Amino acid sequence: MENYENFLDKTDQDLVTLALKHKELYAYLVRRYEDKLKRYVVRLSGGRQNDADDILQEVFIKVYKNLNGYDADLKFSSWIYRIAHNETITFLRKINRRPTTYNFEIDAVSVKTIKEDLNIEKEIDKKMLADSISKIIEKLGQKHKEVLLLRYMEDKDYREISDILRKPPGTVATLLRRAKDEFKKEILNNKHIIS
Amino acid sequence: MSEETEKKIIELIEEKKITPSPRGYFIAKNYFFWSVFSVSLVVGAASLGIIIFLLSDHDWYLYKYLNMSPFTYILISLPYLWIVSLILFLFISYHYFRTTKKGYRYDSYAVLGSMLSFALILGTIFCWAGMCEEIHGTLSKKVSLYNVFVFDKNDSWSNPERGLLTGKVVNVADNSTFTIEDSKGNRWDVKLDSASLPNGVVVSKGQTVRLIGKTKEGNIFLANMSRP
Repeated sequence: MENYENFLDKTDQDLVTLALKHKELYAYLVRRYEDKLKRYVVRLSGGRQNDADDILQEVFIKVYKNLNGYDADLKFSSWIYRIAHNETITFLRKINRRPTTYNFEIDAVSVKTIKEDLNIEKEIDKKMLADSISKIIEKLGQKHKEVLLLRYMEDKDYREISDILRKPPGTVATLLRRAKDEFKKEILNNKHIIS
Repeated sequence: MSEETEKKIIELIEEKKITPSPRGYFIAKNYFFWSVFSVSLVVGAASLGIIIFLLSDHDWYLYKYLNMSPFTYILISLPYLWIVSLILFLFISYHYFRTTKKGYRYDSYAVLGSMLSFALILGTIFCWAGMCEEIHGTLSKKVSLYNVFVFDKNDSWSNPERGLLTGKVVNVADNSTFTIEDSKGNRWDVKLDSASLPNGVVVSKGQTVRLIGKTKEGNIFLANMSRP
């Protein structure tokens, strides 16, 4: 077997092929996606940290079982995010609860992107904190929250969001536009929270 | 990054002896989705073809003789069974298309529009090939429940008291005097204004005729118009 460093340089597709031959190499895919997926699952589930670990375990097992079904026309990251997304939604449905309100962390780059892309510089105080954005996102409907999380927190493009949510790119664009409108509306209605 | 998680996942895979599902399973699944999609689309197209056949073959003017408003006659004449079948199979087809690997990438309206156009073209070809008439005719004769759900235009023609009569020619004296047997087994002596027959048409035994006229005592029918 090659040494540890060599596997870190492999593409996702290469690691899928290798993991199918040597199951222990699947660990490199887990390592590569664990943090990203955990952050996404926690955000999507409204901060259910403990549940996120269980969901994540299910996600990685499911991904392993379905490795042969991975279609290389799709980005591996889109495929694994899709499974993580579906597992989280299934989990929330199973416990019959909507995600709880939760202030997730947002990095400075995401805050900058949101402010610029949504053209909300004027509406908000320039000292607006990242947790204020998370408060607003948490107030949105589930569908709008999902697309905003994927677009701004996970930095996914339209095609990737389309592949993750299994929706046509046009529908994603519409959802994103409506989500932005709702986000802006919430900002105006909650100026006292965010300034 | 946590080595603990990857270790835990690999241990779990080994402990539970989890293996990736074989590639053949995913290929078979994909074929299954495409097959259900295709079969449903063809059945939907056949349903649309039968709808086209029934609507184009219908004698819409008969409402005048049946003492009905055109609207009521349209309502009772619509082939609801085939309309439901068309909607159901197009829905199944659409659903399975969406389930295929890249089916979700296409706009819903574009997919539905394409499916409907395809069903229209294929349905028209089915009609043109005589398949729709064949299916409708076979079901009418062999499945009694079918006639409960699909209006048969012959029912309209079996109204001698309203001047509409249909039946099979059982005896021919000449082109204007012949005997027919209706669907209930009643025999009618027909006196037809021969001028109403299209040029060159000869009434012959075994032929099904549709007549417009009036009844006279003793199962006599005076017809002034005939339809093939």
